[in-house]
Order: sequence, then structure tokens, then C-alpha cells
Amino acid sequence: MTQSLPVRLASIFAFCVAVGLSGCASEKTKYGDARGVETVTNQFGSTDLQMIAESMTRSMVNAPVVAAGNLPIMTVQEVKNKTSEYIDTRAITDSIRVELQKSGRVRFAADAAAMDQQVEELKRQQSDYYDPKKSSEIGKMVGAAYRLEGNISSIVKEAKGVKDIYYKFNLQLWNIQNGLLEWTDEKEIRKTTSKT
Amino acid sequence: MKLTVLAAILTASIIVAGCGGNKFERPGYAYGCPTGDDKKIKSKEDLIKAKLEVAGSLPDIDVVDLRCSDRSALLRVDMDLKNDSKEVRRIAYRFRWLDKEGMRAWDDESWKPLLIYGKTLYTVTTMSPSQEATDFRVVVMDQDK
Repeated sequence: MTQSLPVRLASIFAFCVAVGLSGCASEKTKYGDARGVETVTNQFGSTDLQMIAESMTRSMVNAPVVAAGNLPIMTVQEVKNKTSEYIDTRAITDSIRVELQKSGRVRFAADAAAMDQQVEELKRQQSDYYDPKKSSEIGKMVGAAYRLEGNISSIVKEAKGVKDIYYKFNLQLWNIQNGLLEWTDEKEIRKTTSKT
Repeated sequence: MKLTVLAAILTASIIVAGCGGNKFERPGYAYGCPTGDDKKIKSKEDLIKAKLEVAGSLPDIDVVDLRCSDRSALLRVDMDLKNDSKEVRRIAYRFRWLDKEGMRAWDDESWKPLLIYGKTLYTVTTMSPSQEATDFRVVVMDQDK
């Protein structure tokens, strides 16, 4: 079936408009520097997380209980989010744990979050499917001597188009046996956004 | 007489103490900082030049001093940055850690933003992340652009 000239022209015109419109809405995606300074908004971001983790780790490896070189066993407890925004504090403690473990100066015992999977795996290895001589035994887990806990708080102020956010991250290393605070440090971050 | 001898001993002690910083340096170190096989480092300026990498241009900001010391088998580094302009300047920096063979000893650090007020000095302090990280370079870049 052949179309008349006006219909053909209308179809070509519609096609060109569609192509033009889709061109306007095109997106560009680029890879960026995962470690770069991120200032897209003034909310808690990747740079804040990385700076906190690095600062806390470098400070903690100097603490006498860690610097003594006895490879103290630690466990990570909760970092309370006392700010008004959502912050994945587990991401912060995970980064701190990665850096500390890589430093080769501490060891980590299974924390409360990993306990269920740890127990499940131990129980699984006690089943008839496993060689008892090569299975991990129940009752051999090692408890941590120190626990890490902390909190992050913020003060937000806004006036005349200027928004100021002050974050304070505090981390503490407690001796589980005697309840003594073995090390603590904090990192402060200030971010100010003004409308231009 | 006694006073003259005492004065001479005191002067000699001061001279020896003054020169001691560089005279008893370990091999492969200059001003307390690791230098590896680099024999060209004869002054603090040479040391800063060897350790500093500027990403792009960095007007008005100078690294004026670099100090290193061993702390619990880790390397502590203090770097003094001076803002020569009257304005507040924003920069970012990070350290690159190398092992004794010059290989990368640690993942890339995050860039750390830093504000330096006009005509002031700011000291950046850091520790090496592990015992394998025995040498370093510091990279600085402008954030005001």
C-alpha cells in the first residue's frame, strides 16, 4: 500500500520531532573519582565518610592498646546516628574495620550482626554431611577484648540563604573485661552552603 | 679562667646540637623523612620538592616545612602549609604511601578538603596506615576553581 505525499511528509516530520526531542533529553554518564571531594549537596556524603574512617583509624593505631602490637581482638558495636538526617552508620564502621584490619594491628571477632550467620555455619558443619575431623567445633569461638562504639551528631543552622552543618563523629574503644575507656577520638566537619 | 672554659664548652655544645639534626641521620633518611636512594636531597627545600606533587596549579599556597618521626613502628608526618594571600583558600590533599621498594603500599586515600585562612600557617598531621608504608608523597590541589 502506497501513502500519499502529505502523509509521507507528516510521518517524516513526526520522526524528526521525535528524534529532536529525544536528543534534548539525552543523559551523559561518566565515571568519577570515588575518592574525590564531593560537594553536590551539604548532606553527609562520601567524602565525610572517608575522612572520618581514615581519621579514626590513623588515630586508633596509635592508641597504647593497639600500638603495643598484641593484635587485640575487637568487636564493632553500634554507632548512634543523632543527626536529623539518615546516615548509614554501618557504612562508617565497616570502612573503619576495613582500614584497621588492613593495618595488620588488630583482629575482629564476629559482631552481633554477623553472629547469626556464624552460628548457622557452625551448626551446619555439625551435620552428617561433614567430616567431623575437618569441621569447626562448637565452643571454640574467641570473644573480643575490646568493643568499638560511637555516635555522630550534627548542628544545623540556616539563615538568609546560608545553611551551615556541623558534624561531630565520636568513636570509643572500651575494654570489655574491666569497662575502661582505652581510647577515644572525634572528627569534626563543617559544611556551609550559600545560595548565589 | 674557669668562666672562659665554661663559655667555650657551652658554645661548642650549642654548635654540636645545632648541627646534630642532619649529621646523625640514618641512611636513606633526610630530616627524619624517608628518602630511599635519592642522594640529591641536601636541604629541606629539596626534601619538600621530592615529596610534594601539585595537581594543576596552586597559587599562594606553599609547603614550608615537612617533618617526620617514627611512632610505634609507624611514620608520622607533619606538613606545614602557608597561605600567602590575604584571602581564605580552599585546597585538598592526600598522601600516597609507598613501601621500601617504592611500590604502592596502600589504596588511594580520600582527598581531604582543607580551609586555610589568609596569611596563616596550617599543619597537616598524618600517620602511615601500616608498617609496610615506609615512604610517602603528598599530593595537593586547588579547590577554589
